[in-house]
Amino acid sequence: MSDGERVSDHSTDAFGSADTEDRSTQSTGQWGAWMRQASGFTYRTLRDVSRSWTVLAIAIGLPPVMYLLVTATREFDPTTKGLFAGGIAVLGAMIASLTVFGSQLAVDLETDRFVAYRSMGVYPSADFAGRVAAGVVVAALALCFGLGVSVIDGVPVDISGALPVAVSIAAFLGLSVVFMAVAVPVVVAANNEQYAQFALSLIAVFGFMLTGYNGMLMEAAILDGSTSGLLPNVLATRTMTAQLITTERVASAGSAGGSSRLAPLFVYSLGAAAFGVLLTRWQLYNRGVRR
Amino acid sequence: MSQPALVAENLGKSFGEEVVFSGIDLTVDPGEIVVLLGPNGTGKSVLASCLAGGLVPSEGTVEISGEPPAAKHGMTSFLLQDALCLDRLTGRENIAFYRRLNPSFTDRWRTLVETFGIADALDDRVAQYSGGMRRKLELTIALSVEAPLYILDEPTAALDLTMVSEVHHQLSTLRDQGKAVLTTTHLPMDADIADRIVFMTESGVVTTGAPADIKSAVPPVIETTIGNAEAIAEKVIDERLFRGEGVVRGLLDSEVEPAEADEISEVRVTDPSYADVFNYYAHLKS
Repeated sequence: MSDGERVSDHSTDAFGSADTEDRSTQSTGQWGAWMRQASGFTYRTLRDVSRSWTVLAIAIGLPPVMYLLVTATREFDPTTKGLFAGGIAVLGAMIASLTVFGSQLAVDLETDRFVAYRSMGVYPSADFAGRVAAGVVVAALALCFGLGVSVIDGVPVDISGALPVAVSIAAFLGLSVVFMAVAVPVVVAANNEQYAQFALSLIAVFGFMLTGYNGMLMEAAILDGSTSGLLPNVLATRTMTAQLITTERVASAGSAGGSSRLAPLFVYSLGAAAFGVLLTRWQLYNRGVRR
Repeated sequence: MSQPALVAENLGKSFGEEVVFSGIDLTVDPGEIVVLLGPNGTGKSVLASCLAGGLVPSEGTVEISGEPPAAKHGMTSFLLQDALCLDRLTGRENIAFYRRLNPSFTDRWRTLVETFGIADALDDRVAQYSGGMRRKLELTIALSVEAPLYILDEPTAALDLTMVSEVHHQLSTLRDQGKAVLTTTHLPMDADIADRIVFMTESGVVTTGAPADIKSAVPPVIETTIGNAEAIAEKVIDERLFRGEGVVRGLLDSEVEPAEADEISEVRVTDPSYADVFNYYAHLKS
């Protein structure tokens, strides 16, 4: 563990006069404090999630299992299979973003831990940013795992070009931030880890189904194409698919011009980040409520 | 005279229509331990949260060293019972989290985990801890923060008597260093360390003062064996008897002379303990 957090053999009284005992060991600058708080939330969330098999199974395991079940029971042409693989890999990232961010937020809410955070002067933006960073890490794992499974199943994925990878990463980050901001009001309304996990997973799955597997197979969509095309999960999935999946005729399926979708996605993610910080401040760090 | 560490005036807190408390005035001076004593469910934890800056009071004001609570880091160390630690993390990881969160966190935790006897369990997950071990870990976190004011919500709950004494020693050490300490409790034994007791019931603060003054305001106690309870039932306030270790005790009715009660067979009249003070204010006075 960092910071030398090993139990020493100090035998003096806890409040003894030794310099190392009385001195505050932390950086006192505002920016330093913000960074430490954000990293604290990131580190704690990752530790916590790594030991939560239910969150890991849902976030990382469920989409590839869905992919394998569908592709094993239905015949797809290579283009459709590639598009479906892209859609379901992004579904993994969506579920991971929502559940990883949301599950620990729900635990903190359930135990009134925000009362303690407020008394310590925790920065709401550091709280939000730290949890988002952890969610991004797990969502990236989920995305990579989903794509990895489809590669093993024969879907051609190309990550050799720096620009396509950079564009895909930007699309992925935008998508993750949007979905984590969405998680805040849902968790506050649920106020229970199990309910929150269930509701957040449903949001991801409904988003996936309503938009025709994240805009990949529009014939399966419930929403019309023009509406779906504006949604962040569709924008991000089409961007990533166009950049990474090299199946022929991807362009004809609506994934052409992937990088042009980054602009609206960027606007979405900026808005979501601001929305998330404000919600965190109003819903979780508002000291007038018992949370 | 130095500035009070904590000043609360006309403090009230409601959640919707539910009034938790109202009209509470409270001060804590540097180098003073104030024990907020009262039965469960009287709003002590909510009051502590308001004082620490975890909740905003519905009415009244709180100032810590002349500023609003939680206006900046390091003003207060707040122990909120059963709320600090995450079950799936180890004790060490929980400490590391609060070390990052609170810029006023010090290395004291290294000594405190030894003192509280949880050093060997630091790498176990908190889910495996007993209630007492969790409390010791929370105390370690709260007492590792360098602050002029410590607000501790039920710090001795779930601890054995030896550890209660150790916590009392730690709080006394803080007081000797000029720190202000406010601790809530429903355990009369915690009054042992008080410089001042504030007794809180559902009606609000019913009395406050130095321990000796609080005790002297309580009527004498009449005690007898459990089998002899009927002999004193009519001599005590509200005919209410409280069980002790193999005895029953009651607070002498003002119309009964102590000498008269003392003459009853197997009965003795004695000074009130803190448990009697607790029973008097919690169950009789209110």
